[in-house]
Amino acid sequence: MTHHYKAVILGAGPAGLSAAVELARSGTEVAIVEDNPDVGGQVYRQPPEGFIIKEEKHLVARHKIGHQLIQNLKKLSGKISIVHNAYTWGLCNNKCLAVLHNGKINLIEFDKLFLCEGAIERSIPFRGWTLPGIMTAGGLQKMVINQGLLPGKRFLLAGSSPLLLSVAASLVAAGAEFVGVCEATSYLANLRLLPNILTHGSLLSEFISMQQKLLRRSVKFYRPYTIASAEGEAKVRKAILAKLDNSWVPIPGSETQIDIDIVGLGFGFLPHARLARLCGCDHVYDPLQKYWKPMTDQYMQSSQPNIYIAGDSKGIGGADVAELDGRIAGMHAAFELGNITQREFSDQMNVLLNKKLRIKKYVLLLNQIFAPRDGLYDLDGDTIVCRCEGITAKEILAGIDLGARDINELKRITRFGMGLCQGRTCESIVTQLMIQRDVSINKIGYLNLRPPLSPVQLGTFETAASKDIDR
Amino acid sequence: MYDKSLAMRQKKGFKRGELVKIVYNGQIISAYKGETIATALIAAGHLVSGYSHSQPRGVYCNIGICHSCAMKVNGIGNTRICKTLVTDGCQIESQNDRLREIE
Repeated sequence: MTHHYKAVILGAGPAGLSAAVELARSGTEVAIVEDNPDVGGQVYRQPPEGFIIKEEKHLVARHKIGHQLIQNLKKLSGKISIVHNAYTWGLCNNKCLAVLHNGKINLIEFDKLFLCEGAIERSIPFRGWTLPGIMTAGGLQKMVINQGLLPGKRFLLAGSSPLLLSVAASLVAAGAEFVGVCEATSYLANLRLLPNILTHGSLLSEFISMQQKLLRRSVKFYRPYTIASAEGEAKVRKAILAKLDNSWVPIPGSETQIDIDIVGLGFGFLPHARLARLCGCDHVYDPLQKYWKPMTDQYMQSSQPNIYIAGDSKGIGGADVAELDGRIAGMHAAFELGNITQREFSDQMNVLLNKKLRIKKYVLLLNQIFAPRDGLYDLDGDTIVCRCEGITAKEILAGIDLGARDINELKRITRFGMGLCQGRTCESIVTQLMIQRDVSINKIGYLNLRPPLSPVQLGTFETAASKDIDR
Repeated sequence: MYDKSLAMRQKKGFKRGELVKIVYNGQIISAYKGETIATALIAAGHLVSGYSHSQPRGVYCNIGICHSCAMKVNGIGNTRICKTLVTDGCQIESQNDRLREIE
């Protein structure tokens, strides 16, 4: 089936939803394509159908902002089509999305496309990190607060991210027996945030609500520490923690060992910009955050005509920046489509741009403090880098020593990134290992993506070719 | 393989959907509507979702990115069970023969 909309938005998180609201208000016909059963994205995830969360303590502090955004969307529901559980796996001529929905392939044409793919958690490996029971911190939080399942009794949260505190608060509220937080940044570094927390009202209330939960039950803090290895047979049983020096290299002899059931890892986030890459949008490398991100102008327009990129998928800025990004992109497109006047556009746009500038100052500081330092990438040779294919650090380094300079070349030599996740988890790790071996980032580049972006059953194409697609 | 005692559905503050039965590698497991298959399996003590080179893997990202939890659901392979909600009678098979042998 082929559909056509003036504006198509990929992703129903804060950026996608705000873009949709802005466009629909201007009278633009808009469709949202979302991989999940619900809107809200990761940060504003709604309880699943049939679930009612009755107590405030299970909700994160940002819950109310998300609720408001979703209410605004619902008011415009007649003007916005939402395709749920729809996986976008490809793109035709930068004019049409190829979407897998209910086991069938749909083509969705657009005049303007908004890529709001969000973020994924950054993985930094250590010995034993692939053991069952070791999850991303965000994934763990989803299980606890959205699904109501506490998957163990003793928890360790490790990494370098403000998210760790939020997840610790959720675990405490859910009745975890033990919560350890192993944070790579020092207390001193975090003090720099204090003036910002005090001056931003919403941050202050978020901070206080977390601290109350953490203080009510004792949470054991290890800092500046990292998880150096994990042990267990069929699941994780034990974590070995090590103190970090200033470059975040584990200090020999500082190891301490704890028994745990579940580990949540939070090393910050990476832009998830698969479609942006497939579209051929120009990217730039951010050396502090250690990731590639697509480039846009101030109106969130990418280097490709009629394609906007908003929210975390164009560089991690958090939900507040994402919401503004979405509104800016939506408003710019509404103006270009002739649905709002020049006057309306310039009046409102200035307000949005200024607001974003103010929030960005705080985000930059946050990103600076928690940015992962090189020491964490001093991997033991046997550490698995590519989870899907079981490729170790030793094998990756051997590939570099064979002369691979482009990450795509290294992929062909070592077969990393050829599993089901297609390098989503390990690409950033491999990139850092190459940088460690003095390969310049411009030579390394990033993985070339081709459709389908994720596994699609071959039979689906056959059905589509014979029935639906006539071209 | 089996850690039933550790995972716990929170009772206070949550109202769940209706009780359903799902079938995992031939074994009947109770779950609630609104739960993902990953939640239901972990609640029942199944933390291992598959193997890569004979090393166990579990649910890792829980948001549909890492594909660590891929299983065959109602005949469709490579289904991410962390995003797929349970339905009454749904048939789930691990994709790895070794895991089926052990269980």
